[in-house]
Amino acid sequence: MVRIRKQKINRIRQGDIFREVEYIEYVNESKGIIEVSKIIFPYVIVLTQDCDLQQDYTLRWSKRQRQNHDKLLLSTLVAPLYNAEHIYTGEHLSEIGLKMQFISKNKTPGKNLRNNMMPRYHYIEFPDDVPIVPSVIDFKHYFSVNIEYLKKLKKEKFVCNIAPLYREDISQRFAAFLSRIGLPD
Amino acid sequence: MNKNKTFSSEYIATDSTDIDTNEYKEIEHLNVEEEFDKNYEISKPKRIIIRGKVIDGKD
Repeated sequence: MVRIRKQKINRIRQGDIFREVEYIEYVNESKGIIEVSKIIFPYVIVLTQDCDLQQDYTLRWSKRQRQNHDKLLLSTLVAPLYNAEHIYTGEHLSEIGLKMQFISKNKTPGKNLRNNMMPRYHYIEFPDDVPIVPSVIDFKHYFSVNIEYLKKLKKEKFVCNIAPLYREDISQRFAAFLSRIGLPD
Repeated sequence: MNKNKTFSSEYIATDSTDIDTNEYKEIEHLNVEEEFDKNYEISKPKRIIIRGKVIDGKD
């Protein structure tokens, strides 16, 4: 079980959980018609390093003039949280037309998932006072979000922040997943 | 709140002013019949496609 922080501060923090975050799949313009396709993720967690977010916030919103924009971020990395029950059945992306792998809940694969022994996933159980069902971060589905867009969501869509230590655990596992080496069979 | 309400799969904008990408406001939520549940039950991701006319020039 993770520990969380409920207090909402102005800046984006590593470990922040937001709800209803939009991911733009594409924007296409043809013959005067513009088409935008987006996916609404019910929950995402911020993975960008907290020091980077702190420096970006200071540079972006401080009234003090800076000599350069060296610390400015272009975007924030996030990863979706899926309902663990949907992950087991492989149906968590069914509403966007994708069928995922079945993970047997009561057998070894399900236990490995809950013990965070599957590099791709991070299983989270929230404290009793946080009414979020057991959830799974899918590191393979990370995406970037405009940081000003995310900041505007803070007021209405912020849920909670994963406390230090627990968020570092997530961050380290994410980094390990990204840096894995694929060897030939 | 009707928890069964979801986003419709497609919305065709009738007015190009519906889409404003210059501001970071949520560009189109007119097709939302109901917001996501507030009980923190995690539902599934949903796709929305928006179409609108492009107009030249500026206001």
